[in-house]
Amino acid sequence: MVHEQAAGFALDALDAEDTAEFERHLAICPDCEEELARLQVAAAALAFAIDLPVPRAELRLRVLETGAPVIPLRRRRRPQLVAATALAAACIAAVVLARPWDGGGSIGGLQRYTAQGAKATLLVGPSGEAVLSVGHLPPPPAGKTYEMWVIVGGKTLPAGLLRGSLAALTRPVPPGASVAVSVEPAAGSPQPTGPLLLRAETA
Amino acid sequence: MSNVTDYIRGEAGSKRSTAGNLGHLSDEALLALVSRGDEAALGELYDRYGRVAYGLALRILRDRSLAEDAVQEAFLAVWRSAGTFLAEHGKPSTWILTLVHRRAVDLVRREERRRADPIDELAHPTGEATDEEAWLRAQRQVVQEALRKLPPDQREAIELAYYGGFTQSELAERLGQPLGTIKSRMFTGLRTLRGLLAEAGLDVDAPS
Repeated sequence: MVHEQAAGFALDALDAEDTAEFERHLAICPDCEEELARLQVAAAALAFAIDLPVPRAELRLRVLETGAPVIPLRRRRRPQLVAATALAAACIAAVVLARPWDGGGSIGGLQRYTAQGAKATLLVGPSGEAVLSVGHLPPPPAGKTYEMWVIVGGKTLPAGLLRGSLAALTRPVPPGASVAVSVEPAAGSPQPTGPLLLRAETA
Repeated sequence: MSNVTDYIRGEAGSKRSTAGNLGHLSDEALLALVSRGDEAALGELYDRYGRVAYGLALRILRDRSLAEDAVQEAFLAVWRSAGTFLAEHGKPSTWILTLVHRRAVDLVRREERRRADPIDELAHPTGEATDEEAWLRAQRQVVQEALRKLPPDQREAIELAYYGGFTQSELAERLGQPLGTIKSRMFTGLRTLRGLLAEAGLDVDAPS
């Protein structure tokens, strides 16, 4: 009975195959979703039944390093007067950097998302092609690089390395996706291993 | 300078009553701040649940440094996904502990360090008589009592899964029972536990 598997799922005790099966079921069964939420509360309560030694103080510092500075990017509504059609994405980004724009919005079919103080700008074209430019980004530590990510549907996908202050993303940015940057080993990583330094939500 | 003071307090194993000006906020409000990149709010959530998160990870992993990794990764997930989670209207403390558990179980399966010791009854002295200690002790009593009321075979299946990181098929083999029996024990046991905890009025959220 697949409903019963809510308990195994809440206890992280399902085998890979059963996990996949239950997740598929969960997507179409609101009853199981509710049941799972209740069982997860019970499972989490089990954490309180055991001996709870005080963690080392360093752990708090490590956790807070996680919370690295995130520059929230907001979409500006003001229409841009500059028409920039048929330019290569890199050129457009260069224009963005060169001009002291204070607005954003749609430019020749491109959506622009900009950070306050214009430290970072993300340009997204009609089919999701995107360019990210970042100002004031210090050089990465020795042996490290900045890597870009597209976060969509709960998945974080690699989108190329950010060398210098601007780069075209190697994968499209669908509407509602986020773009993030993290510090990674020089060759890049398949999944972010460092904290996300910047995160841009698109609309 | 108050930030510095808060950090120092935090390093000393901060108690939530002294955790600065975020202490009055609900877990949900803190999560909303975290989703907007508020580091102090992440620190406050850690002060509320870091200890139980670490205790859980340590119980599963039996290794301090792996347990710390699991906690850090879980809070990294909190930092990244707070906004998404808020939209689902769940309990933040449950979510955090679910993340920690999943991470710790992943690690223990990779490291093959699973153990199946029974729950310690206060193996270590738990330190000074702070509010936090009193609260944790009360929570612990309620949950242990509820566990004791479960039929032993259900309790065993739940404990081996949750604290030991065993999968259902591993448990079937280990306990010499059909897989279906293990599944039913977990289901019936966890549902009963949920009812017992609700009866006891347990709230796994931190007190405000």
